Amino acid sequence: MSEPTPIYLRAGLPGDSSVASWAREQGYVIKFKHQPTGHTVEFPAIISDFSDSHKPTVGMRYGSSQHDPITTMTKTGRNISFNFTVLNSSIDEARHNTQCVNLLIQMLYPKMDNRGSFNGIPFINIHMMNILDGNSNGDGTLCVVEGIDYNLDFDNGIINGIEGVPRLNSSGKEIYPISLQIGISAKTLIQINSEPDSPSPLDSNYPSYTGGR
Amino acid sequence: MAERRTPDDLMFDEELQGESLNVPESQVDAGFHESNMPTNSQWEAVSQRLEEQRYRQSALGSRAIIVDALYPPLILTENIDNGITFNYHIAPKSYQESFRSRWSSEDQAHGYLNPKFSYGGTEREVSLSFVLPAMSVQQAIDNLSQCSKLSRTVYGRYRQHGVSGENADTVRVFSGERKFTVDFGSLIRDEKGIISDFTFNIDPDAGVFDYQEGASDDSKTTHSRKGLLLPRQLSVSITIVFIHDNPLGFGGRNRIQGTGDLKWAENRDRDWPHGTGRIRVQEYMSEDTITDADIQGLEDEQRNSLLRSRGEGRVYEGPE
Repeated sequence: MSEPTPIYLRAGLPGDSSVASWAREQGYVIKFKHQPTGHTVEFPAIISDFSDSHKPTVGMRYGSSQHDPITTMTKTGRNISFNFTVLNSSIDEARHNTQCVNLLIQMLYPKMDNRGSFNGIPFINIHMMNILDGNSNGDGTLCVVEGIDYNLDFDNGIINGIEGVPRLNSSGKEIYPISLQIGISAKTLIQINSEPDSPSPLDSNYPSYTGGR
Repeated sequence: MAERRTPDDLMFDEELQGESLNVPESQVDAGFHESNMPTNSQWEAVSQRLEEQRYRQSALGSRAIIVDALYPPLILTENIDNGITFNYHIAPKSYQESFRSRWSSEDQAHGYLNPKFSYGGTEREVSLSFVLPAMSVQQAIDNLSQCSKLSRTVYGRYRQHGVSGENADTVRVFSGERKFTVDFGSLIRDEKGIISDFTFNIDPDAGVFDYQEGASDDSKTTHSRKGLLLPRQLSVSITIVFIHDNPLGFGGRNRIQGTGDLKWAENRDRDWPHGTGRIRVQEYMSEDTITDADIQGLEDEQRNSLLRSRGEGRVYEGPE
C-alpha cells in the first residue's frame, strides 16, 4: 500500500501582474511545513513587521558589599513574531487563498490516532528567505507556534459572493477580505549541531541570517 | 405636519441644487432654439448627471439596504425552547480571529538547548466589531432592541425547579451559559460557541433622532416621546469562543487508518475554518464515503489501486 502524500499549496494565482508571481520570482516566500503530516503552504512574503528575540535566562544573586550580581545562566530562548499580508484581487484568488490560510490555521492542530488521541504534536517549520533559514535541509526553523491572528479590516474592502453552501452556512453568503493580515508568534527549537568535534551544540553560522548554511 | 429637515437632508438638498445649477440654461430649453441645439456629448453629460441625481436619491434611502447587500447577516441561534435568536444585518468594522495553542514546556538538565514541549490543544476566538446605522426612527428603535437582545446572550440561563414537601415552592436554578449556533457568511459557518463579551457604544457624532413637540406619531426623522434617546448609529463589539463538536486535527477516528492519516479529521467535505463557496475542497479535506468494511470487500488489485489513488498528493497551483 502506498503511503499518503502530503499536500503542497501555494497562495496567489499565477499571472504576470500578481504580487504572488513577482514574490515567487524574487524568492520572497514564507513557507510553513506541518511536521506531523508534512503538509506545506507558501505565501508571498508581504511582511509588515518581523521580530526575532534571543533572550537568556540568567539568575542573579547579590552578595553583601558587592555592586554587581553573581550571574548564573541556565538557558537561552528564541521567540519570533511577524505579520504578513495576504492580498486577494479576484473572487477566484480569494477562494484559493482562503484554502491556503485554512491550511496554515489547521497546522496548529495535531495528528490523531484512530481513537482520537494526539499522536503527532503540531511543530511547524517556518522558512522565510534568509531570515529564517534554519537547518541544512532547507525546511526552515522548527517552531512551536503559540498563536495565529487572523485580522481583517473591512475598510480595505471586501469581495463577496453568493455561492455559499446553505447546507453549511445559513446565509449562503461568502465574504472575503481584499487584504488580510496574518500574525504569527512562535518559540523556536534550536537544531543541535551533529558534528562530534564541535565544542558548541550550535551550528557555526547559527542563526544564519545571511542565509549561508 | 411637515417633516423637519435634518442636517443630512439639507445637505442633500444643497447637493441637488448645485447639480441643477451646473446644467447650462441653454441646454434646458434647447429644443426652442435650434441654433443653440446642444451637441450629443452635451446631452449625454446632462442625462448622465440626471442619472446620478436619481441614483443618489435612491441610494440615500437605501444605505441600509446596501449594508444588507454587501454583508451577510450575523445569525446567533440558541437551540433551546424560548432561546435567543438574533438575525440582523450589520455593517462590520473589524474581524479578529485568534487561534491559540496551549503549550507547556519543561526545562531539561542544565545545558540542554531546548526545553521539552507538551501540547494541550488549540483554542479559537473571534472578536467582531460592527456598527448599526439607522436611517429612520423605526430603524433606531430596532437597533436598540437588537442590542438589548444581544446583551442578554452573555447572561446565563435559569430554570424553575420545584421543591416538594412542607414548604413546597419553586426555586430559580442557574443552568449555565447560553450556547449558540453562529453564522456570519463564509467566515463563521454554523459553528457552536458562547458569547464571552458584549460591548455597546453610542456614536454621539452621528447624531440622534429628536423629539418633536405635538407630533402625534413618529415620523421618519422625529419622534413623539419626550426623553427618548434614539442614536443614529451604534457601535457594537462581541467576542465568541467556539466549542467545536467535530474533531480537529489530522487523521482520527473518522478517517481510514493508513490512507486517511494525513486528511483533516472532520471528514465532511467542507473547508474549515473559513468557507470557500462552491469550489472543490482540497483532496486532504475531502469526505471519505467509503468505509473500512467496503475496502475489505474489494479484490486485492482493486483495493491496492483504490488506496494508491487516494494516497496520491499533488502540487496545487490554484483553480484551473
